[in-house]
Amino acid sequence: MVEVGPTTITQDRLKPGGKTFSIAVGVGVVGLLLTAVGYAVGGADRPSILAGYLVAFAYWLGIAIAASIWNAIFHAAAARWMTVFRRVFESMGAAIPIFILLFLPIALGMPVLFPWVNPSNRMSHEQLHLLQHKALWLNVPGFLLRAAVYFAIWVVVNQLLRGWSLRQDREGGLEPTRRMRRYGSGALPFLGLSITFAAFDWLMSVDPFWFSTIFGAYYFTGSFLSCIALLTVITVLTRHEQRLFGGLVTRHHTHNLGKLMLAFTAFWTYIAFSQFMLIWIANIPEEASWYVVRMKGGWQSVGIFLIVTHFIIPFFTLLSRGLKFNPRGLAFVAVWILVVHWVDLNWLVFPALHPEGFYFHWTAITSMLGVGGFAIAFARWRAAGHFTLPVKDPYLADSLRYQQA
Amino acid sequence: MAAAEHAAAASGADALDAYPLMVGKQDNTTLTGNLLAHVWARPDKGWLLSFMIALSGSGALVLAITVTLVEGIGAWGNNIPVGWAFDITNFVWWIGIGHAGTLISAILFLFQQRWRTAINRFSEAMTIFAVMCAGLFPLLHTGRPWFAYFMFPYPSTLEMWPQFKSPLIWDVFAVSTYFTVSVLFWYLGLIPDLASLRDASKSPIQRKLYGIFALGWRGSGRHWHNYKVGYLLLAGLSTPLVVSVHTIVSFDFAVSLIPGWHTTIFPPYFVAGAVFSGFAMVMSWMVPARHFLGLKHVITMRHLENMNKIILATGMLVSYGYLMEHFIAWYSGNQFEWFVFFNRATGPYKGVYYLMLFCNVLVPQLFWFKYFRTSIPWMFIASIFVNIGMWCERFVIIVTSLHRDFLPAAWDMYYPTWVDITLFLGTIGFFSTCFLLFLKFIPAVAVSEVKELNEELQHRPAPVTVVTGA
Amino acid sequence: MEHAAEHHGHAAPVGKTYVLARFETGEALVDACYKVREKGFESIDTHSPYPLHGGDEALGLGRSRVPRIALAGGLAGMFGGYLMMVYMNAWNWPINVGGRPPHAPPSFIPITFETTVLLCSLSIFFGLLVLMRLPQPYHAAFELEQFRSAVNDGFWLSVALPPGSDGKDAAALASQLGAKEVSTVKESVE
Repeated sequence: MVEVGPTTITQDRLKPGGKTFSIAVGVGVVGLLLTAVGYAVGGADRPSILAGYLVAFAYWLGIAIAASIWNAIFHAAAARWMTVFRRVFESMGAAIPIFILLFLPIALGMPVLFPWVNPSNRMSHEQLHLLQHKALWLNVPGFLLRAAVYFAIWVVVNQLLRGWSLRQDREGGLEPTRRMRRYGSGALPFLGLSITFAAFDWLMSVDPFWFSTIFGAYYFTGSFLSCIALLTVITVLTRHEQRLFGGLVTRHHTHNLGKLMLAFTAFWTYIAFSQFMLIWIANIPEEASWYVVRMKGGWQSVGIFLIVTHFIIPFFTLLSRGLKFNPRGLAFVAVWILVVHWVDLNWLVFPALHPEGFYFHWTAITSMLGVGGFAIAFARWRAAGHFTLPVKDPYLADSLRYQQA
Repeated sequence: MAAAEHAAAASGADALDAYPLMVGKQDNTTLTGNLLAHVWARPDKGWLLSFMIALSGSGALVLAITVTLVEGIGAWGNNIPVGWAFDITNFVWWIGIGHAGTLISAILFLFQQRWRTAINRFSEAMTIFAVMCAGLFPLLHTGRPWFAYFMFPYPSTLEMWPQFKSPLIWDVFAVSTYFTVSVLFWYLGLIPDLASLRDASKSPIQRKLYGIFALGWRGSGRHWHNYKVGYLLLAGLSTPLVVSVHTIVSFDFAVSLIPGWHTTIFPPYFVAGAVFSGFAMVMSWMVPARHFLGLKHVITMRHLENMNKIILATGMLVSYGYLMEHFIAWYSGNQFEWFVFFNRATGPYKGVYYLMLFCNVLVPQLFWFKYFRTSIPWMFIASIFVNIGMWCERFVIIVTSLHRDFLPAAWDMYYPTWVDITLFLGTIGFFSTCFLLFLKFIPAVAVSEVKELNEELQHRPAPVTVVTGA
Repeated sequence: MEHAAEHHGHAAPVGKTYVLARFETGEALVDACYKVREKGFESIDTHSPYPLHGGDEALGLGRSRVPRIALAGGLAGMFGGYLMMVYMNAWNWPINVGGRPPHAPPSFIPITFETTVLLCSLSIFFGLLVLMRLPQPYHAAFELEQFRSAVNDGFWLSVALPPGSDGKDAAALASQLGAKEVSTVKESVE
């Protein structure tokens, strides 16, 4: 079956505004307002409301960083087939600056959110002693300074890669490709370390006594997977737009997206299993307590739900070759993954606040919609006025005519 | 509509790939000739000399095994508390080396990295020999290897079953599965090339011998139809398999309570280290082999540079693992955990620790620079350093964690005996013996796949013209 | 050019007869394949040093049965491995190891994975051998010495002739389609 792409293609710049932008802004404003109202009347639920916001923040920011990492990886590997998707990765990464603004509630809410800020007198002597030891890392100025460094890395890397890519749109030539390959490779260590320590700071330190060396990998694996899932959704939604990138995506490309989702579903399971099994089997109190809470009552149900919905269902569905060639089916699985990744992050954070059992507050959903709305609107706003694929990339032909062996 | 027109000429992009995948214009006839040439050629002096040295290494291995069997494990330097030492260090090192082969043949195949075809056969062979060397150590360490079958679940008169909650039994399953699947995958890939040898051979004996192993392959389209799918599926299976094997090796340590062993990053970190050392070993062999076997036109600088990039990438992952271990050892506030890392850097084995950091963290950084990535002497030297560094890593993990754990009263030192050292060097000899034989009798390059690649390289995609609209 | 390779004058009547035709390139072979099938020859095969681009379609082959075989093997390995451990460690002879339950799913997963992969791989490998009917020490095509280029640099079309046919029509068709050499071989039955 030979599918030769068109020899002449017409591409439009993405128009500013549009339905996506308006809806995203609307959802963002309404979501964050409702969350703020919820917080104002929240009373004792305030720490949990803020935690729900933290989850939403980590969820969307994780996807944006993962997009930058994917972009850098593809440059480092000199991959050609994904050229058609590259601008989407760059645009997702372009959402990062808005998160500096969205970080404010977390920075202000630190004393409510992180028990290590003001160690309470309900903690045991040993716990206080541990926090004293950790204070070298877990202190407010350090936390904020590190956040500034993480954001600086992410913004700079995205600016560099996206900037050269847009420059190539205008000027063409091979120099931008050469630069992007160099910067992409060089950025990877910084991106890897910053997302790891961000996960330690923002998610792991919600329970400041627990630690796991694989935790950073756990967070970015989930984010990687969700990033590809989001890309799949965007691609499938725009697949009839003949003058945007979606119209040029072939079934070979979407098949690859399906394969990447399959691989990262398996990889997430691998990381999750490694962490769980090692802690379960060694059964050392200082680590096991984290899982003890999550293996009781309502949290246990959530855990089992995750095994089924984050591994078994997507993995075995994505194994099917037919599904990977079916855009709508693939998009359905992608949306599924995006939902369960959110459940997963909630499961990481909430049991620390509610060890007694399952807890849910409606603001978790409004935070998700609010942060997501703003992130998408911001990315859409920055993408406007540019092409939706790198029109002068030297490998565009290879990408458009890409076929699996 | 302000339309600007231009053509993204595909040919211009080739300027970015300084080195070609194949040097010179080749066709199926010339490739059959020059890729099989080293099999037909009489062994030269260099090969014979290397073979003699390797064979004497194998002899030393036999001697060391004999001493171990006659005298028992007491012939080794292992003691209480250092119950695992050279043996398990060597086991993990060899298994790790094997992983590069599977990675190249399976993972790069799935990623459709076309440069893999010139080097996969070579590294798959390496996998098989490395796993053979690896398997030897735990087998000998059981003390009575003739009872090794106790580890398999079979209905014995003792009415005993294996204890499946032990990672050591997981290892038995993982390593034996890995060996079996590697052999099957290698052999399946080899069948077309064995047929090629059969039908290109001049002597009736060679035709008979290669003919037996070629199973009557005749390049039938009806065969290729199933073969392609089977090969792809085996590649797909080998990928998680290779990850699982070193993961399970890491479980041997990580499920325990020993400080420095019990940490959750171990599985991916061990896998990265395995690939790192494996690529280094492939590099150490490939640099001389492509020279002496006349394969420079199919194993080009492009291949070598890509391999160096993977060495750099996996080296960075290993360094990431070190950083996580050290950081969390401090962050956890667990004094035993922290002491292990402190002891590694300041204790009696600190030399090995710093050598490990030098070889695994610093040396790969060279490969950020194109000059080092494309310099044959530098990449050879660096690959040797990485091999040494990864051996040191396993030694550091195993010995320094055991020799000083919880109770200072139970601390002790470990020193290898001559039997330990001879066993290790002997496996290198045995590995080299097998590998030299492989290079003599079987094509070092996957002939059929290289021909297919050559065919594909003839077809460049037609350029695409982008008309830019509003 | 056409010549018969009659090595065995006394060949028994049950032996199969093939027309073998060599083409210059893989593309020429694939094209010829379509045309020969159009003319009603169904028992045809290609022989090439590597899989031909579009070769499966040219031969009219459907989806391979290998994935189903692999799936069956994998499932057998998965359930077989897990149930084996449950039987041995939890039912037939429960052992308490460090207070963990006799049936301890997390610690049974690594071996379950390995047995899945092992049985899946074995079924792929041996399934392939069965589907390809290999090892096959003798095949009529090997009667023709030139055919040995099929695994090195030749692209061969083989047409198995129905009983009673002398193969003249198939051979003529192959020459007409641009074959560089055409031969008829007879299976030797001894």
